[in-house]
Parts: sequence; C-alpha cells; structure tokens
Amino acid sequence: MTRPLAGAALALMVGASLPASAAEQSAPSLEDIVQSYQQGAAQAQQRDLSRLDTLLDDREKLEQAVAQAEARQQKAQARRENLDSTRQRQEDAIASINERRSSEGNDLQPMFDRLRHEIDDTRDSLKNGWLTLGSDISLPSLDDSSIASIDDLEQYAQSMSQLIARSAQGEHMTLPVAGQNGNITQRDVVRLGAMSAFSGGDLLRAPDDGRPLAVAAHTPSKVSSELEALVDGNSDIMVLDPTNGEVLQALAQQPSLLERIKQGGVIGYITLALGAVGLLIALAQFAWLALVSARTRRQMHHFEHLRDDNPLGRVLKRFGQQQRYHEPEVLEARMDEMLLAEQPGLERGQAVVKVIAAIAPLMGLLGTVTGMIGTFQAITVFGSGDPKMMAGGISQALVTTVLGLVVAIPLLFANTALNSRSRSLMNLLERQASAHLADRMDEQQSGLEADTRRYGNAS
Amino acid sequence: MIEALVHPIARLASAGGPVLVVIALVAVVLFMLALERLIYWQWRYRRQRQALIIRWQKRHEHVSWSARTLRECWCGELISALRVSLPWLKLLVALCPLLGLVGTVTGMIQVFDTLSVTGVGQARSMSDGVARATLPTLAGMAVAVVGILFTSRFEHIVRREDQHLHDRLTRATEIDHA
Repeated sequence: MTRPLAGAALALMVGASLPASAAEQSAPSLEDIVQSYQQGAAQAQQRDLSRLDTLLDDREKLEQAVAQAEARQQKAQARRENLDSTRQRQEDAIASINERRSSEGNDLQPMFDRLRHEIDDTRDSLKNGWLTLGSDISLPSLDDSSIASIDDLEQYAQSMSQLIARSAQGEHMTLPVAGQNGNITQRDVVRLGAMSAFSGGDLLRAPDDGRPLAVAAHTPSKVSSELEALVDGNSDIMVLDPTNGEVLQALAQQPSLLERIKQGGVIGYITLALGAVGLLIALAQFAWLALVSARTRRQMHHFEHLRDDNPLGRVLKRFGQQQRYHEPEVLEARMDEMLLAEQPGLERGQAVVKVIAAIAPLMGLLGTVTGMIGTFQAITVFGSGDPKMMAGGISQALVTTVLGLVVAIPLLFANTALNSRSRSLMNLLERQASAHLADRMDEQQSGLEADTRRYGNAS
Repeated sequence: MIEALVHPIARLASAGGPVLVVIALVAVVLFMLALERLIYWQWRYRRQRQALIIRWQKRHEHVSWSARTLRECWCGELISALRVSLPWLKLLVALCPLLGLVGTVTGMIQVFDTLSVTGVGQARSMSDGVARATLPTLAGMAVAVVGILFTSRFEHIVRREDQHLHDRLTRATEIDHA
C-alpha cells in the first residue's frame, strides 16, 4: 500500500515542483532536483506510515465499515433477483409472441424472405449502375426480423416502376464530377437510361458506391465528337460501352503515339533524329535543285545573255572564251571537264541521305537486339511466368524496328527524287552543252571554209 | 455484283490493317506507272523515234564530230525520256518488302498489346494481330516480285532500244549515202 501512495506523492511533487521551479529559477541544477525528489519521497513515506498506524489503532471503526459493506451487498443481491425474474417473464412473452407469429404468419415468411432478397439485389445492382444518378429513389429497408408492411410492398413496387421508367429516359443534369486532374467541379451530365452517362465529350466512369462521379481515363476523340454532336442534336448516333467500363480501361492502357515513341528508348530517339537530319538535308537540296533547274530553264530560253547563276550559263560562258579553231576532241575534253566541275554541286547531300536511309533499318535492328537482351534479362530474373514483365523489352524491340523503317521509307523516296532530279539536270546540261558545241563546230567549219575560200582567192 | 466484288476486298483490308491498304496503294501506283511506260513505249516513243530518224536524215552531213555529238545527244534525250520513271518504279519495288516488314512489326506490337491485356490464355485474341502481321508481309512480297519482273524486263527493253536506235540511225544514213 505504501508504494502506490508514495508513487502518487512523487507524481504530485513532480507536478507541483517543476512549474514552480521553472518559474522561479530558469536553470535549476540537476543536483537540486534530485535532492528535492529524495526529500519528497522521504516525507511521503513518513505520512503513509503515520496513516497506517492510525488505521490499525482504530479497530472499531474498521468493523463498522465491514458491516456497512455487507448490508450494501445484500441489497444488490435482492435487486438482481428482481431483475432476473422480470427478464424471465419478458422472455416468456417473446417466445409466446414468436410462437403466435410462426403459427399465424407461416405462409407469409417465404414471401418476406423473397422480398428482402429482391430488395437487396436491386440495391446491389443500383450501386454500380447509372439509374440512380441525380435522383434518390429510396428502396424500403427491411432487416432480418421485421415484418414487411403493405406500405413497404407498395413503396418497392413504386420505386421499381420508377426505375423502369428512368431506364428509358435520357436526362440532363448538373452534378459534381471529378475531372482527369482530380478536381471536382459542377458539370453538365447526360444520362442515357441505364446504359451510360457522359459529361461534355467525356464518358464517365461507372459509379462506385459513395465516390463522386469521375471522368473515364481515356475517351477516344472520335467518341467524344460523336457525344458532343449527340448533345447538340446534330447526330443520332449513341456511343455505348456494353462491357461496363472494361473496354474504356483497356483503351486507357493503350499507349499513345508519344508513349510508343518513348518505348523505343535512346535508340528510337537517335533514329528519329537521324531521320529528321536526313529529311532536312534532302529538303534543302531539293529546293536548291528546283531553283537551279528553274534558272537553267530560263537560260535555255535566252541564249544571248549567258548568266553566271546557273550551271548551263557558266559552262557556255567559259566555252565562249575558248579560242577558235580548236580540234573537236580538245573541245570535248574541255566540256567534260567543265561538266564534271558542276556535278558535285548538283549531287550534294545525296550521299548523306542515302547513308541515313541505309542506317535507319540497322538502328532498328540494333534496338530490336537490345530490346531482346532486356527481355531475356527479365526472364532470367522473373522467370517466364508473367508475360507482362517481358513487355517492356519486346515493345522496345518492335518499336525501334518500326521507327527505323518509318525513317528509312521517306528517305528512300527523297533519295530517289534527288537522284533523278540531279541526273536529269546533268543530262540536260550535257545535251545542251554538246548541242551548243556542235553548233559552234558547224559554224566554225563554215567560217573556216569561207576563210580558206577568201584567202585562197586572195592568194 | 459490285457488292460481291467489294466485300472480300473490304474484309481483306480490315484484316490486314492500314499497312495493307498502303501496300495496295503502292501496288496500284506501281502498276499504273508500269502500264504508262508500256503504252508510252508502244505509241509515243515509236513516233518520236521515227521523227528523230527523219530529222537525222535531213541533216546535210553525218560523219563530222559535231554530227556525231548531236546524234548522241538526240538519242540520249529520247532514251532518257523512255527511262524517266524507272528509278521511281525501282523505288516502289524496293519499298514493298519494307512496308511488309512494317506491317509485321506493327502486327506483333498489337499481339503483345492484346497479350498484356488478356494474358496468354486466349490464343484467339491474338489472331487479329497475327493477321495484321502476316497479310502485309505476304502482300508486300507478292507486289515486289511482280514489280521486279517488270522493272528488269523494262530495263532490258530500254537497253535494247538504245542499241536499236543507234543501228537504225546508222542504217538510215548508209541507205542515204548509198
């Protein structure tokens, strides 16, 4: 007995002395505190001892207290007996009532069970359906022992007929809807019977008991435009998800184009960058070739002024500066040389484009192999049981192949376009220059003949 | 009648996916270009060749260097007009197997997508992707084989025409001189 009391005294001491000491002196030394605890403990022990002494001394008082306690116990005993008998009576009454109920309402019991079952079923199916959206149709609630009244039956029949009527209605309403970012806002919602509901162009996720409505994760853009047209009355096509959200979930798992490209990883990005570089070079060179061929064509119409801005003009101009009366073979060699000097400018960039078009499928192959390596690593770590573990590597393998081909195909086109363009320009140059040369030779020939005739006559 | 013709094609297109449609377009372009070349060769080219021979015969002399250069130049013009779309034909032929490969890979991606959604249990759910993988490959190969046959044949024709043209021009002047 002394120990708890001493403990209590100690606790009191602590409670009393700590704030006081904290108020009086800002930093009491540890020794002072220990000393005061020890003093307090000694005092409490002293006090307990003195109280025990007084109690033990006063024997009469003790006996009196015992007698009082016994009297109280007898009283409680009597009361308990009383209560027991009352309970017994009441239990008898319940038993007799139940007996009466089972004898009188035996035929009705299966009906009540049936009703209860039906109501529970209806409530369960309404929980995940669209019918109760925006309205509260209350079904009668029956617990296990209660007796369904005629009102309950009527209420059930009425709510069922309401539900049936609602399943044939389309309805506009304004409800709080959680958007893609999780913010709940008041939005215009359209419910179509028990089949689906949508807000604006977004299909809604099938309602889950107690949670607010939410926008489905991925509504295809074609579907949303159809839905908007339906709301505006421009169309009579209704979009439904008969699987109750599963198709939408599968759609939400389908990666978008960007995510697909991301699956290709570093190699995919490198392939795309190479493709972009190749296309830019091809476009620049194509524009240059178009410009050159336009200038060459203009030059072909005006042979009288030879311009410096096109290869034909340059070749012919340099040709014009040649001395007369060269041997035809010498002139031809000169011409070939000049044409050869023009060729690199026309064929610039083709080599790069061709190399990139050849490299891109190889990059795809590289990505395939690295992806397969990833897949096999996943198999060694996780086993082959779960195909989803391998999916990452396989996607990388396939996506890089596709990217390689997608880059290679337009570059092949570009290469062919550049090649045929430059070759036709080259041919044009060669032909025009040769024709010009041949004309000059004819001229020269006739000039020579005239000269010889004249000088021959003179001499 | 039209329904009976269109329906199987539409079914094939929907089974093969967009890549098969692209291959079909490439095939149409390829065969139209090929047909155009054949028609050109049979009609216009022959008339132009005739005109060229007459123009050559009208020239006052045929043996000098300039005459030979001019002849070379005219022949080159005619022959290069004959082979103008040959590089494009070759490109389209080379493209067909590549497109088939694209179809294979996109089909495989689809197979793995369905695998990740439905699991390995349902082999039937993969059949869509497998059809998309195999049909374009087959179509690409078929178009490429026919295209290669045509391009190599046409290449041969062009080379032969080149020879013939020179022979004819030479013979025309020989007759003239004789």
